Amino acid sequence: MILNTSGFGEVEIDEDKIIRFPQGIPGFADSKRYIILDHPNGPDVPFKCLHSVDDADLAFVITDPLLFNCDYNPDIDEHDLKELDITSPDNRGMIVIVTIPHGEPEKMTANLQGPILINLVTREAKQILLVSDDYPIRYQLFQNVAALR
Amino acid sequence: MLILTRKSGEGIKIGDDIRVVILETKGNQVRIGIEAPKGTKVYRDEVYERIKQENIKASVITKDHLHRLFKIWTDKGKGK
Repeated sequence: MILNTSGFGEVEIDEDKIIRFPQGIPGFADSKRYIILDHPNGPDVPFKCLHSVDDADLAFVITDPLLFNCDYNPDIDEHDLKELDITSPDNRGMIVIVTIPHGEPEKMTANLQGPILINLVTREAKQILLVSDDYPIRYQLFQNVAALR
Repeated sequence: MLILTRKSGEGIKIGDDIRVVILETKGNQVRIGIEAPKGTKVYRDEVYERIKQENIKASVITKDHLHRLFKIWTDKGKGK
């Protein structure tokens, strides 16, 4: 199907790849379907776009938290795993949302306190809230450039 | 809302398996201890609101943003 987006124009997407957020994302409860778009420079770029299928204006930059913080291993609540029917680590995906401060993109941060948990088989997802304070809501991605390999 | 008055060291039971204890009061701060079964989510009231605000802040993106990110990423030495 063709997805009309305000930031990226018309994009051809594979409907089978749509990720469903039954509860939406906090702040955007009405948008339940998203698609991950690769970076325009290719799939190897670690920043991708989580674009709403229901709202042409709504998109987030996402990344793989492990590329920037190898120790990222949050305790995930059993209820969250059960809710998404995640029974093994093999069908568990996790991404984090990147916030880009206006005018200072190099100070971008990742929200490690509210990762997005995905069941890779059913493609159902949820932004979870970690109970512990171990991981910040604004983790500076480029504080540790050496980790970027 | 049920309102109870408690002193330091006193507690409240919620249902059979949740216990809240007032540990210490100092000025306008109260330290609270919570015993709850594993799997019960306990977090500060403002956490959900903070995540929501952060999402709203993160939701304004364009192709230009992605290009700038790419440039920063390559400039910082993506480890070739």
